[in-house]
Amino acid sequence: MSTESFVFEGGPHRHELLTELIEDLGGWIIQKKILAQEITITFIVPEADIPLIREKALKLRGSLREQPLLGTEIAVIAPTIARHHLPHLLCDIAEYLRRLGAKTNMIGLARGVGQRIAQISTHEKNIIEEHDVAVFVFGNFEYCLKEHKWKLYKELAIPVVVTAGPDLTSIPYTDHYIGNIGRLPYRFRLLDEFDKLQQIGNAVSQCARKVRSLLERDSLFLSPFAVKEEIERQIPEIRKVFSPTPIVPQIRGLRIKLPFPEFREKIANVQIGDYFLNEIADIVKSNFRNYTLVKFLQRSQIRIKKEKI
Amino acid sequence: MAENKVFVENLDQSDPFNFGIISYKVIADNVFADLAVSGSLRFVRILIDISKPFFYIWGEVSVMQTPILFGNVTSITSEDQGIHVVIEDETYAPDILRVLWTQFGRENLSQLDRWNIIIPSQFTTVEELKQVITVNPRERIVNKVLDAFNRIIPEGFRVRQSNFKNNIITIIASENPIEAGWLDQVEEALKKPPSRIPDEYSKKLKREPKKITKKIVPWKTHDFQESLE
Repeated sequence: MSTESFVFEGGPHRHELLTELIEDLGGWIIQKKILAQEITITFIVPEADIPLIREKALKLRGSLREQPLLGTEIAVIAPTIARHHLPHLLCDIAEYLRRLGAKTNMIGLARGVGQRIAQISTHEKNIIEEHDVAVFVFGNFEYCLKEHKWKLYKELAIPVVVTAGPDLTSIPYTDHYIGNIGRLPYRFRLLDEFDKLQQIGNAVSQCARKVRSLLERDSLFLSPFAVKEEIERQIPEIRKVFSPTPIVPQIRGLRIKLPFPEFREKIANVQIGDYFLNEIADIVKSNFRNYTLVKFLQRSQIRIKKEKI
Repeated sequence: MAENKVFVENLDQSDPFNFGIISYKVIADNVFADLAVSGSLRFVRILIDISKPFFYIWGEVSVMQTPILFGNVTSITSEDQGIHVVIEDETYAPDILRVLWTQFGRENLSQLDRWNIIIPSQFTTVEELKQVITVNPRERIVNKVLDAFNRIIPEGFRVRQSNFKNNIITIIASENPIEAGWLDQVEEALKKPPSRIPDEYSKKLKREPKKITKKIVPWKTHDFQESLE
């Protein structure tokens, strides 16, 4: 069942009609926020039922925006975190992806600069591979890009989007290339610059869609959002985590911001229907700090795991 | 104004005005404007060969002021308690205090208020103190210009060699050991007059609001907003 995500913005009057409809259709409400006379509802519904939602939103006189990247975690990567690469471009791209619903992490490599000396460590590679899509932001020279920079992203197992200065259509080992954005010393404010950001958003959402469509053939047992709700209910300590998103949903997993050694058992024993979480997922230590990473298994993998036991 | 002083040139003539060259002109203009050094620079040439790779920056600094002495900004008299220094021009107060503290030690000075300082008379004489340099604007400008150059040069080019002679600052940067042949190549290029980037290339990165033909959907509407594709 493929799903689409939206954000509804409108008045709170009779908004229960919409939330009830979403629940009836088998969707999930991710966030509901009422602020004075405004309401913002972020939700997911099955693709086939979009016309019903659309009709209801029109009746309630609110607006619907697509959130193509909801439920994804995206890495925006610069060669280093020096003033040469940050903050202008990287922040613009990360912020724009956030507006499309993604959770973005900005990553600066330790030694990504230069031509011959550019390199990426295994630890960095592992951190990047915990995300769903990686966006690399490079510099202005075609020679550097074609001859040297590929070694930073060639061996990554996740889809890669590269943005840089030269106006090319594609470069090797990447899923998408967006040109005319290089090392620039200003923030993006003009409309054609926003079009560039939109192009990056399109490329990233295409990558996310590709990953999701590959998963459809041998699907996950449960949606990450359903598991997220269950974890929030069964592990009350999650409310004491002060980071803005204590549980980050990804396409094929969850990042839980609880220390792995202490909560490993507790997370493994979360009960969902007839299953424990460790029967339908691998629970491992994240390369980020001390966090816990839940990697969901596909249906065939669950079957193999059962047979082994 | 800085735009007419800065010239970015490609030493590889096969594709002289590629995106990198145009964008480094934009970066240099912005860096000089940010650090407010365009007034003290007369002329800058940036020579780039990206396949070797190296960056060479040649900058001519405009005529500099002479150093400011203690006698110019303070009045110094000898009294019973010691040498009495009165700060006359308060803009130099931090520099005056810094020099006094490093020379005589902070604990030896007694500062009565913002302007009056007394130095024990065994440390120095009035005539000697009048000749001490408070600030050297030349050093300050050179440091600022070198800082600007370091911000322009790509971060990976860590092997650097800078030189300052006759109001001319040069810096060459690469990620490999610098070869003598490169400097010969640079000198040859510097003999030619600087070439400006033609307008048809530089307009690629010109930031001008363009006329919009597409319909912009306001934030709040009960209709669907533009979908992604």
